[in-house]
Amino acid sequence: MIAKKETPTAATEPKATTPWVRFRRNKLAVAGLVVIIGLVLLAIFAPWIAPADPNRQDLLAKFAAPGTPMRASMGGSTYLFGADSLGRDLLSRTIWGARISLMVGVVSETLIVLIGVTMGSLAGYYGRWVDQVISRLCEILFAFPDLLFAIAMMFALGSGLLNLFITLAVISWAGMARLVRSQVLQLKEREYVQAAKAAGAKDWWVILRHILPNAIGPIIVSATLGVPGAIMAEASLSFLGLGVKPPTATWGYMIYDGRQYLMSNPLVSVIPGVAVMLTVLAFNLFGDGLRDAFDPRAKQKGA
Amino acid sequence: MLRYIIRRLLAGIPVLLGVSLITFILMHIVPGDPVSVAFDKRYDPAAIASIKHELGLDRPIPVQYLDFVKGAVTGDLGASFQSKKPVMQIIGDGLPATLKLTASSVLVTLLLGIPLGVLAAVKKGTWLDWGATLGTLTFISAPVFWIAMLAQILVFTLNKATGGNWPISGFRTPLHLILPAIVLGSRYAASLSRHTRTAMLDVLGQDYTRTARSKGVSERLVIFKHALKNALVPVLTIVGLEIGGLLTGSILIESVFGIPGVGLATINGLTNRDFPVIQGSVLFTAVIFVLINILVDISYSFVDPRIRIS
Repeated sequence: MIAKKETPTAATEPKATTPWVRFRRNKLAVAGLVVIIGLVLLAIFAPWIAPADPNRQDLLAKFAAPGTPMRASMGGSTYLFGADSLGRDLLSRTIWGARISLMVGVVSETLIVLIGVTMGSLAGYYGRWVDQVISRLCEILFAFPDLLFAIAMMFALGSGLLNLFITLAVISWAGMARLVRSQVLQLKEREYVQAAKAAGAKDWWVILRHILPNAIGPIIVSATLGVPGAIMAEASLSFLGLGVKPPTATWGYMIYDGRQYLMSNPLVSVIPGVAVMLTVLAFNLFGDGLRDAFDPRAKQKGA
Repeated sequence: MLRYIIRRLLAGIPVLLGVSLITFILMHIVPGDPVSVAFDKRYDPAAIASIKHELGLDRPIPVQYLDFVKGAVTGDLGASFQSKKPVMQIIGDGLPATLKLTASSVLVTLLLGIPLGVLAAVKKGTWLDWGATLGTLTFISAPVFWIAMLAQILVFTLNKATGGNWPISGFRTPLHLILPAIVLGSRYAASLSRHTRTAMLDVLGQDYTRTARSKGVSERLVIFKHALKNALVPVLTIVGLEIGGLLTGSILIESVFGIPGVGLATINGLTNRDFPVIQGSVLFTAVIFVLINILVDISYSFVDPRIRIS
């Protein structure tokens, strides 16, 4: 009954609506976008925004309460969120942590798009044994629980930002490949693609110029919805001591760092956790909004 | 039916081989080699060479892989560098704790997720639906290990205020299981409620639901007998698939609460750079994950016979 009611609404929507117009109507998604823009600015301008050096220690300010004045050598501001076990400013570390989290999200997702789109296009376009090999490989990757695979791989490669990018790309490209493959399978039968082929266009040209531009919506949506997963994976790996090398301020490592003092100084772990939660939530809301905007029919399913 | 089961099981074999190959490769691209990494550089090269020889690590790589697969099939995953105990025994020691945690978390997931999803579907568009949507989405956005730590702080504070003595870590009594199960279970209950809501809305929009309503069947009966029963099919599949996620989530939960399960054994292996333990527990967990997925597929085909044909 209820879903039936929605169908005509979707159909009677003015034909002129663009994804952007549909996106703007979704207040939560817009809120997500605003938070993301804020985070990006925070990450870019971290050195100017953060009141202190994120790695500067002041053992006299160990676990300083929020609002404690900072020594002049630390930057002379106040510990707005307090200090950690080494007297480092929690607010500054949280702001610098945004850099790592966003970088992890953006760089690894870019790699995922590059690998996934390439593999998915090859599998979908050429079919036969190319498809067999790539699809079997994806199947095996799907068989690993993500976090477990990431743990094993980070252990093998060693901690560090570059290895983190590689690991996250390797564990997650298969999902993108599967999506692109199914898009390419549909699109390559279209008349304009057949026409381009008949006109003698090269395969790579057909894929890049005629097929992929028409699959761009789902690719963008999937990449956006992949960012929170990457950020969460970084946090989990850093929490297990397998992420970025300390003392680099990352949210996951900060949460881990505060664990020993959880009952006496909970803020050390609580604040970076809130940062992860808000960031992941913002990307989820934004991604869901994008998906609904690109594919209004998906919304009916209520997902 | 039997043919489908056999076919599905056989299809799992290449996947399992691939899983073992990837695990093996990962453990052999450790910079340097596992023995030097584990034993540091204080040992003289001759000693390391003899340890390597003892472990068979000086043989050609393909031979080592075949040996690894042969061992894995017969339940021999080598011995820990640290404790010298067989890896299979370490996993076996941890398994009861992990199973208890997983089973009680699934219970929490079902008891919390399905009612919440049904409620959100029935009250679609109301503040309750919106609250549930935003609440679950926020909850899913928080790292599960962080939620676990918040839960510890909460119980610790309550203990202090009321003079209570609720356990916040360890694994001595069944009471110790309650907090971890609630944390891990509610994390998956949040996503299950989203799926339940979707499935319920789908069924509530079907013709047979409308027929039932127009016959004058009471709303309660429509929701529980007609709608929920049919919505449960996709919902239970999702539960099956999420058990895999729960299995890895339990690694983090076991670490926070100090539960001596397979996950904690993996983490201890990581801290000690004990590569046979890591290799064994990664392979073991991945194999369980694959088997669960096969079981889910098979049980789904019982419910929906159309699956078998495709």
